[in-house]
Amino acid sequence: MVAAVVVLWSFFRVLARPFEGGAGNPGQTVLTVLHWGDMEEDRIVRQLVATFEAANPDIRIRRINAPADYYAKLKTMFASGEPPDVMFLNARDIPTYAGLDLLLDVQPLMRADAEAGDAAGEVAFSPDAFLKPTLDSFRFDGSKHGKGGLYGLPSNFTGLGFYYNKTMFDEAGVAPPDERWTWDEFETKTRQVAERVPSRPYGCALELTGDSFRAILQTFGVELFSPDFKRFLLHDPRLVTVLERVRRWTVDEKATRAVLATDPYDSVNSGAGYFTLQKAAMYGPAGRWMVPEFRNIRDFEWDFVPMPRGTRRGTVLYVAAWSVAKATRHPNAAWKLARHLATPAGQEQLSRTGLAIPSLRSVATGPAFMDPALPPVHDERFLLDVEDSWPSVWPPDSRMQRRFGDHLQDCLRLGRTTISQSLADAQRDWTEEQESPLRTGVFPRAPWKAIIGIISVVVLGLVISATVALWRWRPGRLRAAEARAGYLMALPWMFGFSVFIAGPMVLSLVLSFMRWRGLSTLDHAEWVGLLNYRQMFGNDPRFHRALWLTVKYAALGVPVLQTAALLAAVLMNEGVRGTRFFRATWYLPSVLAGAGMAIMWRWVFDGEHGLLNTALRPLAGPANALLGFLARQVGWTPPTLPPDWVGADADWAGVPAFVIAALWTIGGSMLIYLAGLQGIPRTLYEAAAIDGAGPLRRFVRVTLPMLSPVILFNVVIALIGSFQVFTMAYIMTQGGPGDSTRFYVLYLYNNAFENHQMGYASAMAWVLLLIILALTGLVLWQGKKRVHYEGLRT
Amino acid sequence: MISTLRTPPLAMRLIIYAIVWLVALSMLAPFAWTVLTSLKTDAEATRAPTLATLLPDVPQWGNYVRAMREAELDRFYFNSVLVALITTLLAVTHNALAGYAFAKLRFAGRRLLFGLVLCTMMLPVTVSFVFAYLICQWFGYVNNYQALIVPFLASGFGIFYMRQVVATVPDSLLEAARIDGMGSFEIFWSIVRPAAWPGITALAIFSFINSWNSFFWPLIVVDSPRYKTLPMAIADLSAGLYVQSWPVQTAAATILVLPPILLFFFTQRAFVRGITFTGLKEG
Repeated sequence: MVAAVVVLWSFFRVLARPFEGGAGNPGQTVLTVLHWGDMEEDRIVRQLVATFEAANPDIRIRRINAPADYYAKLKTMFASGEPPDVMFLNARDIPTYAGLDLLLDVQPLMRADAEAGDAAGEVAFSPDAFLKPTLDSFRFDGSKHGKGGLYGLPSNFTGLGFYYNKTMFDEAGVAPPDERWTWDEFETKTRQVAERVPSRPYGCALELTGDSFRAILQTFGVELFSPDFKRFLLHDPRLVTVLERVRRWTVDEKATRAVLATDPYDSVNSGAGYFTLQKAAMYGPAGRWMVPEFRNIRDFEWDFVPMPRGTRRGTVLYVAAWSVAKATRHPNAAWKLARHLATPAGQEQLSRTGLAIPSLRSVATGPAFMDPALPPVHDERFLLDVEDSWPSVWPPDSRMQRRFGDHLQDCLRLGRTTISQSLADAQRDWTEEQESPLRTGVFPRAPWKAIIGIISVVVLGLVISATVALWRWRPGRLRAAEARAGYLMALPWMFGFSVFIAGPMVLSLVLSFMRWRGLSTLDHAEWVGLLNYRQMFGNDPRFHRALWLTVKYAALGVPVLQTAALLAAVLMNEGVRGTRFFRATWYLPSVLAGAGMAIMWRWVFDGEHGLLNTALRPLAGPANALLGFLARQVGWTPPTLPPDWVGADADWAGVPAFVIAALWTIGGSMLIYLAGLQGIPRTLYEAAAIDGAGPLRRFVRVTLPMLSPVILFNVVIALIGSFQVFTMAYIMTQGGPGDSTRFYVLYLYNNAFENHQMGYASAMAWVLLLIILALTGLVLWQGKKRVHYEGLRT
Repeated sequence: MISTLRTPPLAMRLIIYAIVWLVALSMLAPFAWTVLTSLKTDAEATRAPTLATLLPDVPQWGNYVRAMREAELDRFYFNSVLVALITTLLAVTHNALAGYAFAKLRFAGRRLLFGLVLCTMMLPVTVSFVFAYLICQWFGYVNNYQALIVPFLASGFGIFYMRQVVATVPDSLLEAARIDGMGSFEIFWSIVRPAAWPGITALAIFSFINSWNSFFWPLIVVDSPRYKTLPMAIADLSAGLYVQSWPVQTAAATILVLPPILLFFFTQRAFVRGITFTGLKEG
């Protein structure tokens, strides 16, 4: 009993509300600042914070550097009602965040500074101190970006352009591009380099993302959206001309090797990789962020040029700034901090790392940025287009950007769709988005009081009925003691379970009837009734596609993987020596964490150089001949083998690729089968052998029936797991190309953390639960008829 | 007695060995790839991977030193070990006690409760994260060790598993002990615990690996370097968007997986026996 008390006490000791970890002295202001950054940036911000704290002893800073999943972190902090006081934001986030009234307009504070003069030894910024677009891109007036209140103090920026391999151009005898070059020159130069350099590189690795394509459009003065983001301008004939031109390079004239379109999610064949390995003479449109990496290049000389000229000059800008949360309790202190973080000294240090371009005019033209000792030689070219350029903003959030990028990849890299198809796809996305009642509808605030009331009544009802049941129960003294002990033992578990597992579940069920963007606290959620569910089934083709894809994965994966695991276990059970070793080896991949493995899997499935296809290629000839013969009989165009698994052929080869990858995680199931096999009495086999049964017959008549409960268990667990397939798709393909590997939970994740639709994502989670529940029920019901329990009850 | 089952013929045995070795080698491949990459120079690793460039020219052991220093892994190792050990210890006691109660105590609604537990395993955790965060905030756990430990203690899987394990302990043993005058806690300690030990070990390993590898949740719920764990440090390292060093990252990944591998290797006998108990009882 003493032991029990100690155990219980330790539980509650751990559960008890912790002490605030060093909340600072009374009277001290505590500010939280959230930013992203690698080691160098981390060091710079740390120093700036230290100098700030030294100068302001009454303020203490809690600094958070969250480079991985920055936005998930930021959103959760906003959702919890305790956002960071000062945070790093991109100019493209401004319409969303300022539009939701989450940010503080710092214009008045800036003006007050200017009037007060050089306050407390700090620089008082005037708007003219900044390169104009960098500051203006943090203005928003409620509908138009670039006007109105100021929602951030820019720290650094970059524009997109091209990097070129000077050594290679010299080798080809082609004049390297300069800042006056045009797209016609781009065309001839890429072709000449590709022809004349003996190592046969590509002329240019062209990065095709929504943003980089918009940089190309900028040089023709083509906008994708109206300034108020109400219209998607897809019917501009100039847009079609640009698309046709790029498609000619990347698809029609692919064989000339002048321009190679690259996939932003492909970690193996990245555009920058082609450039550094001298397999492409140019790389772009890319930003300043490549410079630190390219400064490690020893094999050739390189430099930067701005975007080629179309009908005008221009590019796309990325601007990062320090913004202040509207909910901050100390607006003046927070502004002081933001101002300190954007000082010239900090900007100088950052630009020395090569990473980014200072947004202060004085620093950008100073020696810290234009360091002649370090490449690129022509740093000033990064500043050429600034005044004519603007950040690439995607309304209403990042989802349009991703989808448009997917359509571009389909049309311009993979050649799977024509231009008019892609435009129609993009148009449909936009219309769906604009007309969705979830977006346009006006809904009442969620009736939280009623909801909490209902939940309380249900919980209270359960507690009362349990108490009544206990009251009426008249056990013997011994039984009562046993029950008391039982409840005592189950209590910590029940507490933890209901708070941390069941609690979030109930909350997500409630939220599935609401519209909640996950950027503001829960009391801002709006009640939409069944709209999320109606929308899902009636109006979201992506949902249907993701569900169907997941069903296909489960239908293929569960049987294949379970058969493989069972066979592996049977093999292991055949008296192989060193079972310990093999068991450990086969289980090993299940222990490995997934994150570092992305590049390896990309390599395995790469269409051209992939490990899998290298192994399969000798078989491809006969297989293609056979397939071609069969296909001619039925008039069907067969795919060419081996496929480009998660690339051009992902529509049909994607699911098999993921099943193949999952073969590495069968270790757990295999161990369970192995244990089951070892539990089958040997006498049964001997009896069967005496009756004259061969090995196959013994397997079918003895092993399978005796193992059937284990099989059922494994199938149920595998079914639940395969419907939740996520990590592999998240790290390997991000759902692409297009939506061809966007599994259910990945789409759910997109909705929750990228599309700001927490309510919709919750509804999706509950639909998935119901689907899995129904299928599990079906399997268990069928299993009951077929599973043998004989011999296990001994 | 002479067994009536003949050993398979030599040819058959050779084929079986060939297959078993082939599978073993391909299973080792991801780990081998990670280790090999971790020993390359940055330039070697960015070469498009082919079979020819699989081996590093000169093993770069310095990558491990760099990983330790750049991601400050040494500093976060302590947190990871502490969190994983406490989680494992508490989760096992938590679930074993409750598993005993649920498996051997008759009360109404047991089946219903069991069904509910299964249900919780079917809901994708992706959205629940946000709500779990709000609850942790309410308890004041955010940015504390508690946030990394408490939500992992009571899982649907843990209780499902422990219930299966304890159910296989024969009732007659427990009855006999009760007649000898033992209390429930005493029975748990001196009968159930030894009898279910392999299963408890298996759960310990599952809990340890789960806590050790967990990454997305800690990222959201903890931000002070004081409580950072290894996977978070490694995620930060690979998200150092601009300067990418595959060798250093894979060195970090190797450092990360070593403890679970060692743990598995040394406890595997008990682990496999533990699985024996569970596999057979479900249906």
